[in-house]
Amino acid sequence: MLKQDLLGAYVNPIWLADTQQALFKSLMQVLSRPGRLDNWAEWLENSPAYLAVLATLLDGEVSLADVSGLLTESNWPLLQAHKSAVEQANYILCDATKAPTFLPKLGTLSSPDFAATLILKVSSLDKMQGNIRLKLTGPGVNGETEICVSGIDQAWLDQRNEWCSAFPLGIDCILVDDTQILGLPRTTKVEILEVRDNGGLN
Amino acid sequence: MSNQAKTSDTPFRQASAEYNFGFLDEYAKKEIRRSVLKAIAIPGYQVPYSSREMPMGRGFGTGGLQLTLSLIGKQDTLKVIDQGSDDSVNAVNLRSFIEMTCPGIDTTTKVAEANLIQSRHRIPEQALREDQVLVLQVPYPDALVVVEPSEDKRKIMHGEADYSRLLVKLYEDIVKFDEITISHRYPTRINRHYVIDSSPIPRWDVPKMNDSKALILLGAGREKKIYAVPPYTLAEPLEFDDVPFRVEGFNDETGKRRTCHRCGCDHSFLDEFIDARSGEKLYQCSDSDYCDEQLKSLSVNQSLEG
Ligand SMILES: [Zn+2]
Repeated sequence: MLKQDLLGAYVNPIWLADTQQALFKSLMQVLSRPGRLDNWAEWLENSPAYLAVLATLLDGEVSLADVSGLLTESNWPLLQAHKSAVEQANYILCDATKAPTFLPKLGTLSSPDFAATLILKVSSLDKMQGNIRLKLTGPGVNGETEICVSGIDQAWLDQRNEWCSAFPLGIDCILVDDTQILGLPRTTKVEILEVRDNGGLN
Repeated sequence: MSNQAKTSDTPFRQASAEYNFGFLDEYAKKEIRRSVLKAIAIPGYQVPYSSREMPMGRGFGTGGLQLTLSLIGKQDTLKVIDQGSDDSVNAVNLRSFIEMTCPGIDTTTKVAEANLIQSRHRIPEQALREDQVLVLQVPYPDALVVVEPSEDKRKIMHGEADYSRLLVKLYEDIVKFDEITISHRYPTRINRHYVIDSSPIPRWDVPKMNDSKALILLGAGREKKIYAVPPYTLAEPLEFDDVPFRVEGFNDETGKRRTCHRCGCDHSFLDEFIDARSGEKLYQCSDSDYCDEQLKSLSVNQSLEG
């Protein structure tokens, strides 16, 4: 189902204001409640979820680094964000199967909001099954919760925890698989409970 | 390919419609939305944003209004409260502005029916749910302004969670006046780091921010700041071992809890007023929706008994 914009041209829904409003509310909830998984399938048509995250948040005021080359050239004019070196980028898009080899902006003591937001593409997010089982605690979590992630290099989690070790400095992560979204703000304490080769599928 | 090329200017076209859904253009909304996510990720930190001119004076809740307009969609049900009431001039003006600029949304006066609640001076008595978002209007966002005039210095103090001077000031007031004199905007520490100005809510409402099921967003239009108290997050009013934080008391001279003259409630925040005819002091729930709901359940019970 394609939607129409005001002049009648067909547009993928992720570029429409109504969709972006709905997706933003979902993003706001997943970042407020780490461990909550939202499924965006009904909004995406054929777009990858990471593109919908970027479409919802970016415009010409911010910079983006596409570290793993997940975007196509035609995505950039629509996103309007300017390309930036990863060390200076406001937003960073990565394929999480490859370990990070850069240092993102962590913000400053006076302006911790100058930190980067990372969008990490993993292969699957699930409450029960996956290669790495994580325990999450911190603001937004009622007690504690667990989440399983597949298709993420473990170095990401170690690196992320190090980057977030001196609050208020840190980075905020949005993990996406094909259609689902998980928020890991810098305040979330992430512990690896188990690493499983078969993803817990017995 | 051709599809995308044709539609690359879609956001411009949407923004240039006579006025956009939600009054703000999509760029203004995106900036506020990005700030909201930062505010959630750094609980209690005041995220700067470029507050837009609104067709009403700053100080009339434009910070809260811009938040609401950036969040709201056609599937939302909105409640607007001012000092606990849905019917005050301010609340009515804000609500009609939002209704006019957001065709298709629903509005309500009932907390239970709303998923988006914009408020000034009160947090509803009825506990909020996980699917609700509370937007509070804030006139002065920075709790440190009473001890440090320079914003640059305040930002460093906040970053270092250095509140020693604020605590000294608070303690001096207590010694001088033998009581915590701050009845409103009580400084509250979020997630053991940032101290926020809790907005002009009574002390009575401050504990509702702690471990809240609902996300709480605070917006200061004039000062151009957005901050947040995420759900399930520690929100602790500053206090001292010998002077613990306490909420307003509503006991009469004999130590008996005053009740609402209208619904009989003995556990809500009460407003005091003088009855015009009798000259008598009367007390009534400040939260008018809560008062109505109590009154309704009272009459249901009475008719059941009768
Ligand atoms: Zn009452």
